[in-house]
Amino acid sequence: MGKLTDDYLGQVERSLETDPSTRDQVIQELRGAMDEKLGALARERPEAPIEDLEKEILNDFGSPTDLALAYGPEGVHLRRASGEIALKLGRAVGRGTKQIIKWGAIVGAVALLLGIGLGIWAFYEAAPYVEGIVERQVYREAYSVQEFCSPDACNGQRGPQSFALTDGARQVRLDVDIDADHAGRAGGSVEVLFLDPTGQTKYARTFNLTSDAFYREELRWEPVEGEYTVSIEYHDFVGEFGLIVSTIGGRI
Amino acid sequence: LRVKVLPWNEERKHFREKLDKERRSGILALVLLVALDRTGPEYGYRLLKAIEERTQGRLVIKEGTAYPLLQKLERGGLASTYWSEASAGPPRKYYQITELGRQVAREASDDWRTLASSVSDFLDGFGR
Repeated sequence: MGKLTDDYLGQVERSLETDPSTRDQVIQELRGAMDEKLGALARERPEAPIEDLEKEILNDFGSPTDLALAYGPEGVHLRRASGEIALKLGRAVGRGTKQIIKWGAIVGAVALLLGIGLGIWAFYEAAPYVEGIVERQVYREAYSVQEFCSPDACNGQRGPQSFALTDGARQVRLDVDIDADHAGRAGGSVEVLFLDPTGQTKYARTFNLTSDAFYREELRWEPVEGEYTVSIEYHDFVGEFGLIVSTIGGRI
Repeated sequence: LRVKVLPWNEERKHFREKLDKERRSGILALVLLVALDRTGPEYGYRLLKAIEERTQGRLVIKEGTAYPLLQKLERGGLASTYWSEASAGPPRKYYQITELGRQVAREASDDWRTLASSVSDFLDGFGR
């Protein structure tokens, strides 16, 4: 027997998954069978090259891995079996991955459509709700006056100025801010009078300003429909004066 | 949408090949078993030659099929084995049918004859 047979049997041996004793017996039996067959063929065809006869015999035995596999579960070809298991696992994983990708794409598409739908709904329908939230939370200016009386003092009356609140306003807020100028100059006085639409005085105060005094006031009332009036009168007032009337609620 | 790994035709082909292989394997195992019963203890090469001669070359079992089947007969307790030195060459593994093997061979032979006869009659009947 030549190298071809040795190589063939080597492959069978490596492919057989069985205990060493059984493996040795299988190889020995196969080698014996091949040897005997080769002898018979050589007698039948003495002119034929041994290598050709050897190839013919090995061809009859089939592929070494198939032969090893044919020995069944107890002589199974491990690498092939592992390969098949890996293939099955791969197929299962492949199916799982495809399912995940498929459902991921579907969920993504649905989420995208929902997002687009929500966006359209928000654009047309949710705006009033958002506005409502803004209206409920944000103050909007209804009237303001700011005057810098420095370095020259301010004198005289400003107003009365009238203004109306927007429809639906739920609160009126008055902020008064009186302070020295940026150089710290301050002096004189200022009178503030704030009347509601009924003519009732909501706020009236005279501020005497010095360099170490400043005022900040914040007052809130329930709104009354109609026009509010603000009057401001300066007496040698040096400094900065600010007044803001704002509301919560109402149409933007 | 279910994604099949193998196209249906390939699945069918694979299934048919498996059936054919099992059918052949079963029939050839029966042939080997019956041959062992007729010849008495014999080693693989001579057993295959005996089958070939007995059937006048109509039934040739390839070695790659025969030796694994012989080992299965041994594992199944249908044949026992022993090694014997040869006058020339390596030792030979001899197979000998067991009582269980003989019983199985009888039953399987009867089954085969019944099946072959029935199938043959059926085919003949449809062939007219």
